[in-house]
Amino acid sequence: MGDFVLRDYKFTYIDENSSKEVLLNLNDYLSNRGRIPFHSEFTNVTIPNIILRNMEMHESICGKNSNLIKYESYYSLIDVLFIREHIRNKFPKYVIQIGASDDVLSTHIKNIAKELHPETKYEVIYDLEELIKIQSKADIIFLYGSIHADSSGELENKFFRILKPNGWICALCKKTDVFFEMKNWKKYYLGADLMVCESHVSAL
Amino acid sequence: MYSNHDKSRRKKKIAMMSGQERPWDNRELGKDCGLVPYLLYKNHGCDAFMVCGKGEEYPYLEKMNGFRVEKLKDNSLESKIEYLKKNGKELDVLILYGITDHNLEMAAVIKKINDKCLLACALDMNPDFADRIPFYMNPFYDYFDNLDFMWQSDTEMTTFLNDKWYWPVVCERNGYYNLEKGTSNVEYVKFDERDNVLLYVGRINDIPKNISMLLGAFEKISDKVPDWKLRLVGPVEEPFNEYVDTFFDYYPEMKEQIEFVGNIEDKGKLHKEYEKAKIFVSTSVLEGGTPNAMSEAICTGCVMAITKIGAYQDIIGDGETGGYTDTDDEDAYADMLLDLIKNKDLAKMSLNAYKRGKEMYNLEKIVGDIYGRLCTKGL
Repeated sequence: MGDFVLRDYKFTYIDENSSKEVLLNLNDYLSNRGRIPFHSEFTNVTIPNIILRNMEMHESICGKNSNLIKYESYYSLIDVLFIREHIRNKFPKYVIQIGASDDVLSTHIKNIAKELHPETKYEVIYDLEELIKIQSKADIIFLYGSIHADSSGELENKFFRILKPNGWICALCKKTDVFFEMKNWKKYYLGADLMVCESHVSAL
Repeated sequence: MYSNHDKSRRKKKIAMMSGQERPWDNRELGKDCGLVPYLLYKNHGCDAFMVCGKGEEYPYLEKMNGFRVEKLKDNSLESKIEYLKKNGKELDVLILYGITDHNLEMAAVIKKINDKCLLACALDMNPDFADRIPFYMNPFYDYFDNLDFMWQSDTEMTTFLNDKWYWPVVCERNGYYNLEKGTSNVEYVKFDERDNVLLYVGRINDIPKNISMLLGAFEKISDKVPDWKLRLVGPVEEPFNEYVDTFFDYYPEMKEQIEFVGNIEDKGKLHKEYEKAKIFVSTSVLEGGTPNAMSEAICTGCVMAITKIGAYQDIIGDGETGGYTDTDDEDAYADMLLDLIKNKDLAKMSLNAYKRGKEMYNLEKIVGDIYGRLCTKGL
């Protein structure tokens, strides 16, 4: 089981072997090509403040669902990964969420997306079968909840069609899911039964 | 008889106004903020000048062929706005330096008074400040949106700002112009005629120049290079003078190899320092674009030993003019200094630096480019 920490202005994932991966370095100003600053005395809308605000709001976002409240660190990790992807350039993103057993993830991301860029578009579809309706390629896909697929190959074929080159996919899923078997996806384990996985299209 | 033809022959009026609550100081007349309007005046027939409040004398003006600094009654924003209200309609270009409270206000005022006046800005940006500015919010949004032309003095930051901002930024480097000789083209002094000197030129402090790292790095290698000296030219800023005293208390033997020369205002004497040195050293942690001392050093043929500030790639190229290390890594910097001193190709690197300086840091050519761009904008 890993850990997700903020140390020396770096959001860092530490895996079970104590290997560290810096996910977002708030001192690396040149990595931020988005609108929102890492630090500023001119505005209180900064990257760390919007992450912190989402963490503080997590419990109220989850409502009375105590099962989801305990996954605060997973959602914070996803917030940080989403911000990292979003600030690669100045342009708004087209984001698709597949699967929506609840609106916790979409609320988390929409809270941040509207600050990062007001024109970023966020669309929710309920299962893979609805992908056929998607007309434009997305920058980012979130996979939320159980995704039914016979194989990892079947999943990757579906994503390839609707993701831009170097587009990013992130899944919050059970460890028994098909994603657990996918070899070229990066996996972050923060608990016994859940993980966050991510990949870019070029890696597929 | 008045005609449009006559109007076009009128000298273009270009003002570089101080954006700080202090006057331009004499040193700044010898840097890009003074030399850009000076060369627009000298080489391009413009009525270009600087504007600021009282409080400074300008000995450099003796070398500047009638170039002038117009003085306001004081350095307040009110005085500057009063000046613009009185003279703004006659201005063809207002150049501002950096992003300051005064500049934000002056930009808004000039556009209301004279919408035909071109507004230009030398950004002098560094990564720290570039991150802090919420450029999508006012007053910053209006400032950038009103600018007709803005430039940054190194490639890395120019590329970054073009990726991040909505407005185009061009790269116009802080070039070199020798006021004493009246040219950007200076002769190359042969390497074997130079002394075994590591030269630093600039303010002597810890933030952002990190001179304690420079002293520490040289101390580490000093016994291996007993015939080399470290010469530091520039004012020692308080409280760094206390550090210097403590350093020499710990390492009294270093007084033989480290010299604090003091400030040199005379550009001719300063130029000789560069000509006599083999290696220029800098350990800054942060700089806005290309520091003036670096462009002076590379154009004079000093091998460059610097830290990874924004302009490092412009200065070092593929390593043909010197070397660089990460900022704040004293051991690596010491190793690099020793490698350079022992490098059998040091003379070749010096000539490479001179050629690179001539190609990329000729301020007369750079100002020619700035003038050309202003002309395409309607000057």
